[in-house]
Amino acid sequence: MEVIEKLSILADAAKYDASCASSGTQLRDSKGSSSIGSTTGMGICHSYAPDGRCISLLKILLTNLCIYDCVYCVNRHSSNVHRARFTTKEVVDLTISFYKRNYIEGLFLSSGIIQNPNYTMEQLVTVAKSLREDHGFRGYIHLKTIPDADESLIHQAGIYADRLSINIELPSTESLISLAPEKNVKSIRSSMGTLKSHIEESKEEQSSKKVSRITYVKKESKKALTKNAVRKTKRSEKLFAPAGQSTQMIVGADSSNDFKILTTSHQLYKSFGMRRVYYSAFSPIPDASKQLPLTEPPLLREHRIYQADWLMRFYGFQVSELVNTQTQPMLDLDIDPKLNWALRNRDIFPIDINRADREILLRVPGLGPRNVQRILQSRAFHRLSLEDLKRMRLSLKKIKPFISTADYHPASSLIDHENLKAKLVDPKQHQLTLF
Amino acid sequence: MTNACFIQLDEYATYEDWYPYARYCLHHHIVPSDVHWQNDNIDDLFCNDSNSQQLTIEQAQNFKPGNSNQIRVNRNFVILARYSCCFLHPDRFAVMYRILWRVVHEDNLLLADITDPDIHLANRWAKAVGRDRHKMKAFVRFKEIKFANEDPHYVAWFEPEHAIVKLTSDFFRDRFYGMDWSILTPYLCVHWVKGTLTFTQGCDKSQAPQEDALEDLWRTYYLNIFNPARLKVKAMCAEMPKKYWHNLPESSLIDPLIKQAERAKQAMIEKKPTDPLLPSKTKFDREKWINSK
Repeated sequence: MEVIEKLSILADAAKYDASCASSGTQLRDSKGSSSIGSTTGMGICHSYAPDGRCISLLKILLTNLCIYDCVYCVNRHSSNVHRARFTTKEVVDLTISFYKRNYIEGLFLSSGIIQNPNYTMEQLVTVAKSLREDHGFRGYIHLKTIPDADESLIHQAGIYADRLSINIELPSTESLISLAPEKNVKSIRSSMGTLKSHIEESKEEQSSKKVSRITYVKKESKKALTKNAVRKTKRSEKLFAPAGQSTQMIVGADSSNDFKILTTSHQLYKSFGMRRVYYSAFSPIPDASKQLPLTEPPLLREHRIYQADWLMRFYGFQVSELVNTQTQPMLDLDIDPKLNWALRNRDIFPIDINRADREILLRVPGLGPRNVQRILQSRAFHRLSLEDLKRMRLSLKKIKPFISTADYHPASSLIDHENLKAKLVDPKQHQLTLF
Repeated sequence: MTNACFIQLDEYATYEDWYPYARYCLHHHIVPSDVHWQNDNIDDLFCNDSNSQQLTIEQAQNFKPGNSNQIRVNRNFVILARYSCCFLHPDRFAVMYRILWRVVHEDNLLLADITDPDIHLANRWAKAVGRDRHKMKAFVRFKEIKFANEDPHYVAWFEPEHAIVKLTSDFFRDRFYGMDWSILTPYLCVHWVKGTLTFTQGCDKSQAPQEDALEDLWRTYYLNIFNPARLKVKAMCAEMPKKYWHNLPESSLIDPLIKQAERAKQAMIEKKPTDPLLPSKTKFDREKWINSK
C-alpha cells in the first residue's frame, strides 16, 4: 500500500481525538544545531479544517487495527473499515517532511492496539525516539499512552514526548464496562497516577538540578557542536512530558448527564493534574455499531461543557454553582453557563467596576480574565466610565445590566427585569445548532 | 526660531530605522509637534518649508549622547515600539515619538494607562502586528527545490499585511536552523543560507516555486482529518481569513469539502450496520494478558 493511501486511512481514523494542542511545553529551538524544530509558548495553528478545528500537529494512528472492541470507536475490532499500518520510519519521514514545509508543529501519534499493549507502546516510543535521536527533532510530540502498558515503557515515552494522554473515554465506570469491555477503569486511573508522579518528580528534580541530562542532539553531530550550543542544550534539559498530560471524554455516547461529566472532569483535574480535559461530541462514524444509533453530534452541548470547564479552571466556579443533581443536571443550551449563574444570583449585582475585587469581577457576564486584569490596571489611574469600557472593546450590551461605573448606575429594576434573559439571548441563536 | 525638522523614512521602515532619529530629537529637545515624520514619497509642504530642516540619517547616527546624558526608557516601551512601528500607517512614527516624549517628560507610567488615546492606538497597532506575525508563522508554506549534489533549498511566498519580515525572521531562523530557506514577500525577502541571515528587496510571486511534491500528501491529510459531521465554517474563517487562502496548498479543498459535508454525514448516519468479519476470538483477553506478565 502506498504511503498516501495509508495516510488517508490513518488520518481519518485519528480525527475523533479532539486534542491538537502544541502549547505549554518547554521552550526550545534548533539554534546552533544541524537539525530543525522549536516550540513556542502558545503553539501555532497552521491550518483550519471546515469543522473549525485547528490543524497544529500531524495527528495520525500508527495503525487502525485493534484488538479492543469499544462500541463508540471507528477502529473497534468488529468494524469493517479499511485497515492500514504505517511503518515507524514512514511516520518519522512524514513528520520531518511536513515540518520542513511549515505545515505542522509536530506529531500527535496514537494507535489501535496490536498484538498486546506493550508491543503497541513500544512502537509508539520507537517513532518518538527516532525523531529525537536520529533527526535531532525539537518540535512537539504528543504520544497516546496505552494504560495497560508496562511502567518502563510509559517512562520512556515521557522522555521523548512533550505531552502524554490517556483517554478516560466515558464519564462513568458503568458506561466504560458496557461500551469498552476490554478497557479497565482501574488501569486507566492508575496509569494517569503514574504519569502524574513522573511529571512532578521530573520537575522537582530539575529545580534541584539533579536531573540526568537528556538532550536531543543528533548522535553523530555531538562533536561538531560549538561551545555555545552545548551550553544551550544543557540549559534546556528535557523534562518528563513537560506539557503534562491530558485526557478526553466522549459526550453523548452514554446517558451520563452534564453534572456527571463535570464532576468527573473536576476530579481528573484535581487528582491527576490534567492540563486539559477534552470533550468530544459523539459523532457519526463510518461503519458504526448497531448498539449506538447515530444522530447529529451534540455540538452545542459540547460547547456548553467546554464553557463550564473554562469557568471551573479560570473563573473560580465550583461544579455545584453550574449544575446540580436535583434541580439542574444539564447545562442550559440557550444561554452560556456564566450568564445562567448570574441570572440565578441577581442579588449580587450590579457590581461596581471601580471597587469590586478580581473574583467578583470575574462573575460579570461578558468579562474575561484578561479584561478583568485590564480593568484592575487602568482603574489605578482614574475611575472608569462606560466610555473607558467601550474603548477596551467590551460588549456594553452584555455587561451593562450587571455593573455600575463612575457615570452609570443602573436602576435596580433592570437587573430584576423578568425579560432580562430574553433580552440578552441572541434571537438568531435559537435557530442555530452549530456555531 | 524653532528647531523644527523633517525626517524622511522608507515606506516600510520599522523601529530600527526610526530609533536613531528619535534618539537625536529627544536629546535635542525637539518637541513632538516640531518633528515631521515622512515615510512615503509624496512631497508634502514641510519639505519646502524654510523653517524646517531635514534631519539626515548621518546626523542622527553620528550623534552619540555621552554617558551622563543617557535617557533611560522603560523596557516595555521598546517592546511596544518594536511592534507598533511595523504597522503600516503613515502616522506610526509621529505617534511613537509623541509617546516616547510623554513617557520621558510627563509620565513614567503612561504605558499602563490603556485608556489614554495614544497608548490605546499604539496597543491596537501592536496587537495587529502581533496577529500578522502569528499568521506568518502559521501560514508560510515552504516548497522544496532539489539540487543534484547539494542540500535542498526551501522557498516560501508570503504576503504580510505589515512590515513584519525582520521582526519575524529570528523565529524562522531558530526553528529551521539546520536547513537553507528563503521567504519572499512583496516588500522584503529574507534568506537563511549556510548559517547566515540576509535580506534582499521585495519581489513578485513568480520568483517563488509554484508547487512541491509533498503537497498531495498534505492535501490528503487535510481532506481526511476533517470531520464532515461537525461543519463550522465560520469558526474556520475567523482563524484562517480568506485573504490567506490563495497561498495555501490545501485551500482548493475547502469549498468542495463544505459542499459535500452534509451528504457525507447523512451517508454515515443512514448506512446499515455491517456484521463483523474478524473472528471475535482475536479480541483482547485482559486476564490472559495480565497473567502472562
